[in-house]
Amino acid sequence: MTRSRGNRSVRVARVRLALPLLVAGAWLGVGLGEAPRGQEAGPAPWFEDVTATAGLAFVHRNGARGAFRIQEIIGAGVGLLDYDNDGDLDIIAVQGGETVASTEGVSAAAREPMARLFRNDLRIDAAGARVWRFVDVTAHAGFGAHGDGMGVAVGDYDGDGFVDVYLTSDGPNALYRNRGDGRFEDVTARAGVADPRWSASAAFVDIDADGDLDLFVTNYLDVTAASTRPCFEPAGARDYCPPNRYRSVPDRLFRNRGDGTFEDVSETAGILRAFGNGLGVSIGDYDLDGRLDIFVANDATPNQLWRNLGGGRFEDIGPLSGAAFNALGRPEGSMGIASGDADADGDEDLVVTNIAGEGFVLYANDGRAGFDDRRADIGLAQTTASMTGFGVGWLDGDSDGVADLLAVNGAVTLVPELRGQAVPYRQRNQLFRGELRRGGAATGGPTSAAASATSGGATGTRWRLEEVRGATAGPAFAPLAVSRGLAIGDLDNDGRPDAVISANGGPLRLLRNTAATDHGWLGLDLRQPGPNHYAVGATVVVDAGPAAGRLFRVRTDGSYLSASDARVLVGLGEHRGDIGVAIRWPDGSSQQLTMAPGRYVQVEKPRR
Amino acid sequence: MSVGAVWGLLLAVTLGAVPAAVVAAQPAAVQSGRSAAAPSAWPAWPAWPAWSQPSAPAVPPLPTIAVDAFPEASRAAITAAVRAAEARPSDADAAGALAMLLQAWQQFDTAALVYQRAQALAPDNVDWWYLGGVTDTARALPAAAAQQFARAVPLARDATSLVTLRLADARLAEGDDASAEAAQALYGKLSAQPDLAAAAWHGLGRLAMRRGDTAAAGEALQKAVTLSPDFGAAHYALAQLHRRAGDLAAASVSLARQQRCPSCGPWPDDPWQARVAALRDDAFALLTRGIAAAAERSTLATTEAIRLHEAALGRPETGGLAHLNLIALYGRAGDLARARQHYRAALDDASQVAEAHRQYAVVLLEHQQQMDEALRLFERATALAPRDVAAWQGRGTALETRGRFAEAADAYRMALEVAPDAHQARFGLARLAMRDGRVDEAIAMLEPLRAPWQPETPRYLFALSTAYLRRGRRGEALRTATEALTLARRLGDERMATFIDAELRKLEARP
Repeated sequence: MTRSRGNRSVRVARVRLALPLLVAGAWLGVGLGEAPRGQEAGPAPWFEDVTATAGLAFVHRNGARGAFRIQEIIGAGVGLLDYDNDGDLDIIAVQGGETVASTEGVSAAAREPMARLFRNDLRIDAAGARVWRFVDVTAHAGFGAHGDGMGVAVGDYDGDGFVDVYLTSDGPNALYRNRGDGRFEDVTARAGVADPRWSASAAFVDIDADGDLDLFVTNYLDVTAASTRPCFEPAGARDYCPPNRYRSVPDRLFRNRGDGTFEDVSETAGILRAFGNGLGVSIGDYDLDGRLDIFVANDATPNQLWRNLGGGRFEDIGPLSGAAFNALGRPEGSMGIASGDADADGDEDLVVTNIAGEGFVLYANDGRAGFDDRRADIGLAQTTASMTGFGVGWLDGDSDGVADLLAVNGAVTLVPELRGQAVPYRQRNQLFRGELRRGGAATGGPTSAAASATSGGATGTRWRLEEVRGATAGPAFAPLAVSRGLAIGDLDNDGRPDAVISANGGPLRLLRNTAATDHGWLGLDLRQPGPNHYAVGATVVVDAGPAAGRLFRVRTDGSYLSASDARVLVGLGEHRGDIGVAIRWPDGSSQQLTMAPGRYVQVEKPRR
Repeated sequence: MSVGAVWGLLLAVTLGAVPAAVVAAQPAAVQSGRSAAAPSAWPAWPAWPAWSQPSAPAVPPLPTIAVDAFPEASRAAITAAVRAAEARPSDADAAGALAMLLQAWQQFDTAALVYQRAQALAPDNVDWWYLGGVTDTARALPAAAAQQFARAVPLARDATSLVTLRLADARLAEGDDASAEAAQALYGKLSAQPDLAAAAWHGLGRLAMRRGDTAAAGEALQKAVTLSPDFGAAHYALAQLHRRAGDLAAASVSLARQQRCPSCGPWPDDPWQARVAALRDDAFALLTRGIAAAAERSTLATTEAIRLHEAALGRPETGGLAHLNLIALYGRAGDLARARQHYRAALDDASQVAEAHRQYAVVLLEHQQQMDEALRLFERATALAPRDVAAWQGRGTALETRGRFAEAADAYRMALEVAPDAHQARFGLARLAMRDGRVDEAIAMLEPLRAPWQPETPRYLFALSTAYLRRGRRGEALRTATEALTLARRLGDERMATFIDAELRKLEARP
């Protein structure tokens, strides 16, 4: 059975193998039970920086010229998308620094676009090794918007089978429709999504369950010329102002009309009734009522948790939920979000990255959108106390079935220890290994006394995050940078999650997963008929292996200003047998399947 | 605190909702710190916990401090202290003085290293252990803080209970079971101390929540808010406790009470930290302390806030901001002449003209003086800063008082356009609709103000009940008024409750 999607034909089957890498005319996937690499024993870094060898050359410009515009220190993000549907993830990096002053006298043609697109030309060499290579295809792609770019969201808003791109900036945002021929066209005006406010993270999501992707946009601050009074760090040096120097602006919710245009439903949806300094957004069904809710991380103002009441209406239950504040009821400088079922109890928990002096927080969900601040219990508070965190995401770095965490950091005000240096805002990034205990049996991290002396969740499950440093983290985590965006995805389709990190005023970095493990895995690439082709919002639960019972969601949102791989990647640890998979599709229907591990499986939603 | 943060606080001052920052006590006499056999009211401290056995640590070297990299504002003071510490390498006080100075300038990581040196040089001096603990608390390192507070407790003489509270807080923040047990014991002792009991019960409540003992948590937190009715953090903990139990109404009440003053609490005076704060008399420090004093709102605190702001005048970094705040502070003190004087001075800074207009207009409005002038200033403020919600709301109110209702409605609408959550503007529009007999419109305006509950919600609910009554929906009017009364009582707003109660009785008495 075939049906046309744009200028391509896509095979549709109930369950079939995902499109593997096309190399020299041959399909080459990872076979069942085949360990892709890292068979040898012994410690090896989980990640290797392959930016240079992969040819990924991108340096973010923040436009800093000594004026300490707050926009300079906030961006920018990075996104993963398979824009050419060739089966591997490409990279889109957001560029900043374009201001009226900086482009004075520069022709439009000579100005740099707000994003650069890098095509993944992954290949397998004669020895069977994956060779990473990225090619800058920006000129062909046709991104024409200019401005101080901030974030990126990806999603197939028009349901044509090709992933589209939404770019946010400190001025009007831009929606680029993927034409399917490697080019993008600016459809912002026609779509009606050019929010003129200073926007940060955005998310495509079918929030009204009508089958197409709507758009939620966080907005940060109202920075006017009148509010650009100079600020100073505690010892008296000129520095960036804190956000409370400016006024907050409301976020926006755009409903997809299904005809290529969007309607701003922010008011009728109720989301204008509360707002803060919005930076991060993640979508999940936090109260498990079958409707997708919206969590917004706000900087120095209370976070919002927009509970979906149905009928296109939302109410902010942030303060009541416990996820708006710290344990003392005070808002924090929140930036990025990792939403996921960390403790494998069937609901989505939240990690929120905060400013230095607060520590990152894990809000553990009680399944009713009630959250407890467990940052100290799980070992996150002290290890992140001195960090200003931005991009963050769950991943299973060693495929042991337990959620690990990657966070990228960089200060927004001068780091005293770097005083006098050229860029006194740099910090190191952090990798955390998850340890999950069920009934006293540990999976994941070390079984040290420190690791076991943790408190448990409501279900009796105990989990803890332990920072991975030194040789295990590898040199990829040594450099200091002003990191901002983080996108996680399997860039070489080997079943191990890789990462792309953007840095303010610095180079994009590509981290390849090199964890030495023979742990099993299963990848799921969900597809469904209709406009939400990639089934964004669907959930997956497996019934075997160490990840049994853990909820996975198809999403690209979360982190900070960034978009990650929508596919679900499940680490299976030592489990080798078939896996039962329960899928809940965005329309609420369910499907049960049994699959062999060690490969990506493309699952098509059955037609009713 | 950077001047940017100070400006953020200013917004709250401007609106009359004075920031609720913890007020640092003025420098007070601090005991020398070298305690030995001095008698104490506090029972003898038990043996050292195993994890903090006193030992004779090697004296760590002074960290390298690149004094030339510091800006002019702090360089001279820090350089002098570094030189003194280098010149007297065995002098703990010299190292401690440097550490305190670094702490005062918020160079916490370096300060922590220097405190370690002072502790090693003078292990019997409580000051360095206590301030090292405070510094590590600021660095969000509770385990390190706890170790130092534990060393400080037996040395603290008359301030033992304060140090013990800090130790208990640090151990609670550590998050592991053993630390929680230790914190339980410490808070238990402190709960008998009248001045610290509220804080101790709050800690005990949070510990009970942590172990899932809902009954004990409720009891402890209730004691905390009974002893300290404006204890924001305790109200928040109660809200979370109610939410866990599924009692969302009770949780909402506790949240509304917390919102009245999120940072209020029974915070004890801290002579050590006052001494650190006093090391700085630069404009930022003065202003920061002045704003903290302003948050207290008492006559005494307002006087002190004015004094500190006046002292910050004439400093180029903060002079303009000081003038702006002094408009509000003299307004609060009832000295309109001085308020006007600072309003005029504030106009000299082109970047703050709009705020100066609005600030002084608010003062005039609050005092019901020169209302035409107030209106004129609000108009100028909104012309210069069209996204200033407070200015639009003030303009609406001023227009209402002049009987220019249509224009007032326009101003409120502008406020709502800029900030859709501007409750005062929504309430104003409802008021105007009621006045014009557009009762259904008033009801539509007021209904969204039912939730989330906040300190003003009883007022909004009562207005809604009167709208229902005007519409002939007596049952809904009675229900809503009763709801307003119940909420006012639960929020502790006795004045509003008494008023609603009287009106409700009249309503019930009518056929």
